[in-house]
Order: sequence, then C-alpha cells, then structure tokens
Amino acid sequence: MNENIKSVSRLAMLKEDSENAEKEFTEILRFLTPPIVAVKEERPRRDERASLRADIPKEGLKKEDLLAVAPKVVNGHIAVPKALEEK
Amino acid sequence: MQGMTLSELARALREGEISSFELTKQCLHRIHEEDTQIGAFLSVFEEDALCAAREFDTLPDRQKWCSPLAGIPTAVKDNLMTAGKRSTCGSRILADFVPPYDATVVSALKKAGAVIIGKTNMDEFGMGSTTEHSAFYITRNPLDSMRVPGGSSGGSAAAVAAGMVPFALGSDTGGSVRLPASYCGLVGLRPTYGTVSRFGLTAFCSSMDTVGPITKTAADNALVYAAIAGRDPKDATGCAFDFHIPKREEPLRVGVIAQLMGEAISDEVRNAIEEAIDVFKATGAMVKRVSLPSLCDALYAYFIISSAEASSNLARFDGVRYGYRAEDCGDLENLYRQSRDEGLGEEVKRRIRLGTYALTRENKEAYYYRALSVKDTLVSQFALAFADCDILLCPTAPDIAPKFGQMQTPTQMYCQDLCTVPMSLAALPALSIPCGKSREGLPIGMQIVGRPFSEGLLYYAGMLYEKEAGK
Repeated sequence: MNENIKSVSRLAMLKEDSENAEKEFTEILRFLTPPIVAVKEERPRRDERASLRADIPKEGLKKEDLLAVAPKVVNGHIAVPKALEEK
Repeated sequence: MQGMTLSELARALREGEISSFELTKQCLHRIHEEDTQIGAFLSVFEEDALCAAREFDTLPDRQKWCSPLAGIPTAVKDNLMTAGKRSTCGSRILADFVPPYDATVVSALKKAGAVIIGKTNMDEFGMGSTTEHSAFYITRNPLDSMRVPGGSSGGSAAAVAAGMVPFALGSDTGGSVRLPASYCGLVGLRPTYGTVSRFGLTAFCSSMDTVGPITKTAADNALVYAAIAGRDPKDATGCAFDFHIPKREEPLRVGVIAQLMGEAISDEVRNAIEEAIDVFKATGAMVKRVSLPSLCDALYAYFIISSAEASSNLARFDGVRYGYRAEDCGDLENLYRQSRDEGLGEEVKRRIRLGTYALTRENKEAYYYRALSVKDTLVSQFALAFADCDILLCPTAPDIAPKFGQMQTPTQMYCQDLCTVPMSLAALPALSIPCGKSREGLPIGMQIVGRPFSEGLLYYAGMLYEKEAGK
C-alpha cells in the first residue's frame, strides 16, 4: 500500500507523503472502498438500467423512440418522459 | 439597516429612505466593526465600492432601477474572478493572483447595479465543509463564534448572517452553498447545473460546480437568481430556460427522502424536518415517503468523482504559468513538486492524491467507473421519485454546525456532506431554507429538491413554507 501511495504522489507532482499523511490516505481509501464495491455487485445490468430510464426497445432505437423518451420542457421544468411516469 | 432583507432594502432605496452610498458606508462600517472577529472577508474594496455607490446615486431614475439589486452592496466568494482584484480561491498558491477579467456572474451583478464590496473567505479551492481549510484564516459562525459557519462558502454565509451584506454569492459543488446557509440560518440555492454560468469560476469539479446565491429569505434568493441565471456563450455547458415562479392552484406533491431521515441524522434535525413536513401538510400538500436506495453510496461516489476531476483541474497550478513559485528547486520537476507542495494546503493535496489514485490504470475500474455507475443509478432513481412528486424534502446537514476542531479526521468532515452530495451528483436544483432551531438556538436547515430547471417551483415551495411557518 505505501509504495502505491508514494507512486500516486509522484504522479500528482507532489512531494512524497509523511507517515501521517500515508495513514490518513489509507483511512480515506478504507472509508471509500467498501460501499463502492458493494454497488458494483448490485449494479443493474445495462438492459435493466436502460429500462429504468425509459422503454427503449431491445432491437435498438429509432428516431421516433428517441423523441418519445426525450425530456420536454413544460412550464420551465423538464417533464418526466411518459414511459417513466407509467412505471 | 443590517437586519433588513434584500427586498426591504430595495424598497427603501427606491423610496429614497436611504441612498446606495449611505447603505454601502453602513455595510463597510459593519465589516470594520465585526470582521476582525468573524473573518468573513479576504478583501474589501472600500474606495471602489463607495465610488460605485456614489455613481449609482447620481444616475437618473430611468437608468437606476434596472433590477431589484440596483444600488445594493454585495460580496462574492473568492473563487469568482474579479477584474483587477485579487482572487485567491483561499489558497496560498494564488495569494497574489489578479485576474484580468470578471466572471460572468460578477458582470451580471454589476449590470444589475449591485455594488461589490469585497471577496469572501472559503475553504481552499472549495474543498471543505467548515471554512477551516482556507490558507489565510478561519471564518467563525456569527451565531456562535465557537462553531464553524459551514463551507466552503463560509465567508459568504457569515457575511450575510452578520449583517455585513444583504446577500452574497457562493459556489456549490457538493453542498458548499447549502451547508453554510443551513449552519448560519440563511437561504442558499444550488441551481440546476448549467443555468448559471461557470465562466470565471475557478474549476474544482467541472461536472458539478455551480454558482448560487445566499440570502435571508427565499424571495430575496429568487431576486438574485433571476439576475445571475441565463445562457452564457462563454460557458459550453450553459443552457437557457424560462425562469418564473409558478402560481399553483393544486396542492404540492411532496416526497420525503427516507434514506436521509434515518440514524445518520440527529434527533433534533429529524424532528425539525418532521415539523416542516406538518407545515406542508397544513397547506394541503400530499406527502409520501420515497426511497432512493443508491443514496447511501452517494457520498463515496461524490468524493471519488470530485477528487478525480480536481486532480485534473488543479494540475495547472504548477508554479510556472501563474501563482506561487518555489525558489531554489534545481530542475523543472522539482520546481513543480515544491511549488505545489508549498502552495497547496493539506486537504487539497489529499484530494489530488485521492483523485490521481482513482484514475490510475489499476484503480480506474474499481473506483472511478464504479462511482460513475452510482451516479448513473442515482439519476434514474431521482427520476422515478419525481414521477409522482413535485418536490423532495430532506435535511441539509446531519446535525447543527459543529464546533471548531470537532471534525478530527477528514472522513468525519466528509460525512457532513451526506445530505447535499446526492443532488450534486444528479445535477438537481436544491434550496436550503431554515426550518427550526436546536436546543442551543442554532439553526437547522431543510433542503427542497426539484427536477432540473424547477427553481421557480422551489422558490414557490420555500416562500409557502416561510409564510405558513410564520417566518
């Protein structure tokens, strides 16, 4: 880990860390790592993500499909596409 | 005049009860009196401000009242460029940097007739939630000098809360306008990304940086937002839209974000939000709980993405082109390293290292891409929540303003942004308004979150709440 942090400092054009800074950096990495890893495991597949956004047909997108899911500005704010409202 | 709102001052100016010169003098007097203790300002333009105010007073009436901000003194955060005036971003590396141009929002304020009287303190490059990370000095919360004013726009919020200016501009990347507004009992807006120009705002995280106003009331905030919002050809991410506050006949559909009403939020804050929900219910609003499961990972995603972008954006501060340059460095590479090491603060270096780490070939997939996928999912979940809600409610901060030194580790400080970063990731507008007080009498803030471009509705909801809650 320490070698890793040293090489990061070199890449970032900073001086190498003090021992204290290295400890802090390790703590931050620990703080940031677990949930992100968990998210990857639970991350919806590409087709699921697409269906979250709108009803995009599996065979691909035509111009009229894009227009159907494109957000429209109504009264100064973006209206939720119909496909989403139905969900 | 110090307790008056922007709207009240604008009326007093129009009716000739006070001149802009007199008002500016009062603000400057207040700064001289109070700012040695508070530390809200990094620079004050006394002569220029008095000169601009005097000039304004001599204008004929038909030219004077071009906007409600005409003749009103104001302050801007120090990461907004001001032509011929020091713009330090709270950093030693830019301690003597004088830009040759005005940021678009600064030009917009000047065009609206506002008198800019100074630049406010901030966490270095906007990286921090307490304004303890300025390279120059800390800013104290005017409501309790032992506590932080929030950050990174802590100077702007403290200046308004202490009555030094009726309104100020801040910038919000992960909550830097909303958090100080909440801790100082003010109203702060993070606008929809792109509706306010970023031209002349020093980049921290380009995909999430926004500029927003800090004021005493929601109506005042709308006045400032109307003056600074709009398409700017100098900002490629800018967009035009029709800003207006809607007149609604039908009751609001309000969603309460379940994940931000849990154990991470203090009892006092949760109770204040529950009471605010009752106020909305009393107006006839339909209230329901909404769940955004990815919200729990927003904090982590935010710190990875923002640090990654910061590591790239801040690469320009190398001691060569402008800013601080270290001496006796030997070769060029040492010049870069030493200038950056001496010129940048610890928090900034920490985030540059984190961002660089997250973008390396070995870690990119594990950190940066995963963070982007959290962002992606969050956007979808917000869209689903807005399918049957007009606005969403949640706290602005997990607790009241912490005391100086209370945040002992960087990760403790990062947790203060828990409630504000999800909206930054999803590029949504959010208005923080005061919604109660703690046992010690310190303010608690509530966020009203809307769909992109729904600032008008947020102000409507904010004003409705202020009216119903008797503020």
